[in-house]
Amino acid sequence: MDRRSFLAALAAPAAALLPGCGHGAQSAGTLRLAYETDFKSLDPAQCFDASTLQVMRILYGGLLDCDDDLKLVPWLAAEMPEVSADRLSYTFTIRQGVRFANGRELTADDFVYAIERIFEPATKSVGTTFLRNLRGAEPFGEARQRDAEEQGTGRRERLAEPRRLEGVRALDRCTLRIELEKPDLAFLWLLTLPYTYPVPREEVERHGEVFSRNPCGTGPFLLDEWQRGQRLGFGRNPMFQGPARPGLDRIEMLIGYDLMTQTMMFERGELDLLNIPLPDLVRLSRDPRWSPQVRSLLLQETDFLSMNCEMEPFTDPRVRQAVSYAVNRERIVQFTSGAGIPAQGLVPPGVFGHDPGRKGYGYDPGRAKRLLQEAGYPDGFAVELWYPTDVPHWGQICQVAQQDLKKVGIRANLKQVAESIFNEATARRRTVAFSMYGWTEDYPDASDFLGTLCDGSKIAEEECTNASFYNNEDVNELLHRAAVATDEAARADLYRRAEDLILEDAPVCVLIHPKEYRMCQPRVKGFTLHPMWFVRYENLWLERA
Amino acid sequence: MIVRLLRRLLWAALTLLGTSLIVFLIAHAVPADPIKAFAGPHADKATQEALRRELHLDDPLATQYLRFLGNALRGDLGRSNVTREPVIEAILARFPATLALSLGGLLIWLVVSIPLGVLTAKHRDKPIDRVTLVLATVTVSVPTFWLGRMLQFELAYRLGWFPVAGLFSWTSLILPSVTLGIVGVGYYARLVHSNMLDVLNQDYIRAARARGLSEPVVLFKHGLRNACLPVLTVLGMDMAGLLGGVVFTESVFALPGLGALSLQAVLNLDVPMIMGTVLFAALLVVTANLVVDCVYRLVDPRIKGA
Amino acid sequence: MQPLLDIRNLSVRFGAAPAVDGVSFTVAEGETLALVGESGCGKTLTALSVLRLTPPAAVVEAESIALHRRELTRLSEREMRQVRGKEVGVVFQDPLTALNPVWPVGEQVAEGLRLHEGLGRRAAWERTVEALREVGIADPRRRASEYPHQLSGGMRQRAMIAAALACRPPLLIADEPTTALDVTLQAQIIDLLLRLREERRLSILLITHDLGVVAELAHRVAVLYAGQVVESAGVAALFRRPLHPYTRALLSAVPRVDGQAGRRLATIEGAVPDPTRYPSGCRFAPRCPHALEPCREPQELREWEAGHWVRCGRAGEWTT
Repeated sequence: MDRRSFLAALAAPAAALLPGCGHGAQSAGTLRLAYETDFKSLDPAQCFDASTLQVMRILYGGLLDCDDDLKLVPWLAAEMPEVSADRLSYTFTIRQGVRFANGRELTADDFVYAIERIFEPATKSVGTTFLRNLRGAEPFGEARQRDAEEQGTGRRERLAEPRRLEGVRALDRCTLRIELEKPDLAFLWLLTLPYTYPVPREEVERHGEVFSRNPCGTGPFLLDEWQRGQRLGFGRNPMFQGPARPGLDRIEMLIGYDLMTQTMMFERGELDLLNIPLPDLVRLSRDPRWSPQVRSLLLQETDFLSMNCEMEPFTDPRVRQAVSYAVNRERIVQFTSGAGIPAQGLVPPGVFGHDPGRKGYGYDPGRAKRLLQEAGYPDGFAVELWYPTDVPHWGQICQVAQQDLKKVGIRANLKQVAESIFNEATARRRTVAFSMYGWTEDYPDASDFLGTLCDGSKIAEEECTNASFYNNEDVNELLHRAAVATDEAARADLYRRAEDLILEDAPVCVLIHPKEYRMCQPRVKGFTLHPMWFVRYENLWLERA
Repeated sequence: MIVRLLRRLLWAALTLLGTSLIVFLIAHAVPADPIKAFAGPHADKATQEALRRELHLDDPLATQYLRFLGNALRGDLGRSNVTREPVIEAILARFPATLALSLGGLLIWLVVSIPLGVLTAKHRDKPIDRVTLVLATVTVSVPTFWLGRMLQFELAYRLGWFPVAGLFSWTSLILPSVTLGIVGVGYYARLVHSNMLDVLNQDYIRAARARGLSEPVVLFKHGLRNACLPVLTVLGMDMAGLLGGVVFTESVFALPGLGALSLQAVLNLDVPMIMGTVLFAALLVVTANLVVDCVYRLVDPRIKGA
Repeated sequence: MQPLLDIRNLSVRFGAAPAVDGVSFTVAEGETLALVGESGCGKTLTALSVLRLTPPAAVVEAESIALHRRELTRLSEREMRQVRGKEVGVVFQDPLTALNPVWPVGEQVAEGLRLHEGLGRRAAWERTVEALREVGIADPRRRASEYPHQLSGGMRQRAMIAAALACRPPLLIADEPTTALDVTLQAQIIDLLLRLREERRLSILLITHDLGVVAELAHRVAVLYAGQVVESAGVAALFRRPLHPYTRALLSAVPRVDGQAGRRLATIEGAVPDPTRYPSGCRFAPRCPHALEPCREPQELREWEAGHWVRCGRAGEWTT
């Protein structure tokens, strides 16, 4: 930044400080909300948290969407794809007349470009994990990796083969074919994730590294202001050709406001939407002014205590079962004033593969004690219980668990750890014995829970998603069969059996499926919560005063 | 004069160099891997290694430090590991808010504490003096964060006199400035008070009165300027404390300043941003001290020649 | 002669302690009255009471403090400020501490002129330069914008006198005007005061413990001891025939020839009594070589001969 623009930066707030433009002055039709932290990137390839996901949805679009009933529906695709008999090939027709915010019309090639781009190391995408099953993904990814390495050493002569990703091809301007290595009934759900959203190549190449700050998509809104760490402004995308025009003129997202501040601002009418902090839930629900505005959503998430099956004393399944019997889930719900509902299993309600009839571990401290005695711990044991700082009420949940465990002789010392350190340590083998953990769906399918958390064949030394380092050959076998099953009923049954075995072995002590509470000002209309997207800004409109 | 100034500048440079080294070492001693914080939980090994190379995080520490230092001297503090924006741009974009808040706080700080100190010295042991003494003791020991929350809750949330948070107009700056200022008010009022008591016993005050000057002229023209000299010295030393208060105040009132920027940088393990913001803060403190030094010279003619 | 300043029965108390106890005197136009005594005898307090500049803790009571027959004790604070600097100028002992170090000396002269004479900035400055010239400061225009620490000791005292006399007040209170200066400078300042007195028909209330200065400047002398006037007379009469043993002790303590050690009061046996513990009789009795039984009774000030008053029952009982 040169001197001139520094002075301009000094002058800008000075202008804002002039009297007359009093606080809360918003143009009509502007929705204002606040976040604690800024978005790291608005490149769909780099999206990996819920709040970014909501923004991705209004800036970009995917082939398929998930509707209110959690059914897949066409989005940028004109209709649902044609699927081959072997369940390996999907053919999409792209909707006509869709344009990027820069005015160019969307074609099938844009999908090919976007998906191939995920595999370039320079894209720094986190999406490759989900797209490994695309045909030819592995050699294509390795080739791009080699390119990047050779570029680094300056020995680059020509691009490594294969140059194209075999499994994703544009048959013509509006026909896209996607092919898989192995059948996967959950595959179409992956297309709702931002990693396959089309991005315009010319914009990506124009902006290079900072494309993440200059999004350009097919969504109803476009980003027209981003003062880093301060605010984002979204205006209507004039190129948008959606089924319905959005009801809002503008969305303003303020950055750097903690939950307490957000709550106060909301109650003073300075914000339109609020993610209700649990401590304020009871008060706001009882306030006649606000109670009609409160919306709750059962998250497709399971929170649990993870026990490292490779570390004493949790190597013994009886000890793990004892923990599951010892914890009183009802009390956790009570204590946190409604953080969720007691969990019976790992797969939450609403997710494919959830067993509504499942009876999990009840609260039975006597049985827990007997199990500990059998396992050779008549006097219990002491252990450190790790939990991360980023979820405000997890400390409370851990305290309740701590009290329950103490009643059966297990002395858990709570250890609160910064999120980044927690993530790294719990994912490293033989490092953390006992931790509070939560898993949210990326897409509503049992594979995202059981396959990610309990597949023993995926145990790695570091960055292991199998946080309990649980390894049961029978479970692995069931999970692998389920992943490639082509019959829905059979697939659901395989996951159910796998979950039975897992819960029997109890590598995790499931606690709750959490709930989320949000509210809006009375002037905000069309506000419902969606289990996958949470807030869909394009459905909101404001009642004019 | 020139020699003295040069010596001050040299000290300032050494201070900054020391700061940079300490910050660099601390930032690299944190046990978490910034790459993982950056790339996210899903990133694979290869992506991480590519990133590590790209960000030069695989070089020896000394090399990294010298490169950082060299670039910093050219005004380049590197790019954020998280957002990839140039650190210096992020800092300069946030500086105006911090500057406005600091000046606001300083203003409250001085505008309230100086007359209060003068008045209490003039009316020693009268009710105003005692009340101020109690308030001073209380405010000095109140944490900025708590005070800010209280003011925010009572005056903005409950009474609605001010915006709760954010920076939308000049009214947004009032509560934060008061929060930042009040903590200093108590201490400085007492400092001015005791200096003033001292000064009021001086012959030149009696001489000024003997010339028929009115009490305000005696107090403010002849008393205050002398009483302010020790205050200035302390003020220079308190600049770092003021900036510390800025961090808390910004975080309570969600002001988009350097405090919020550095706090976020720490949470993200954004090493270049951490180092940039801390270095910049050090630069601010050093500069403020030089300014105070110059002001001191303006106020006290006796040390002009020294 | 018309009394310019007329003080009757002035007392200054700190709590129960009478630091000044029933002092009366007059200063006529053009006359110089010296208040003489050891430090702590109340002479500075007496002078400060005239302008109501005593410390806040002091309680001042007087039958009358009249200037030009105007009763100062009845003036409001605002009216009193009109008197200070305009009708009475004050010169303090140490010009280094009595001049404000952070303002140019000229400013400290000019502010009085602006206040009392209603002059504008420029006119006040011109008068300031003139006033500095009148007190014998060379290159007054340059000196006016200098700070006290840049001036020599003699110049500082001249500037102090200029500030006190800038508005041409008829009365000057000079509190130990030469004490902080060395001998040569003392002589210069005394010459300056003599000259100004002649030129302006100035009345001076001189406070000093230096009998040399008294001899050169004063017309009349009032000797203070323990808050009371113990003797008052014309300067010639007093030096010729001191009546009170304290005055005699003071005079005998003056080294007559030696100018080097300063004509300061040499020590008198014992110390001035604490105002809280004055003896019930003659306050000098505990230190008096001639004290007898009757001295245990309180002593009245009586006129020994015309214009020569003394507070001692045995006055005249001894000679030399």
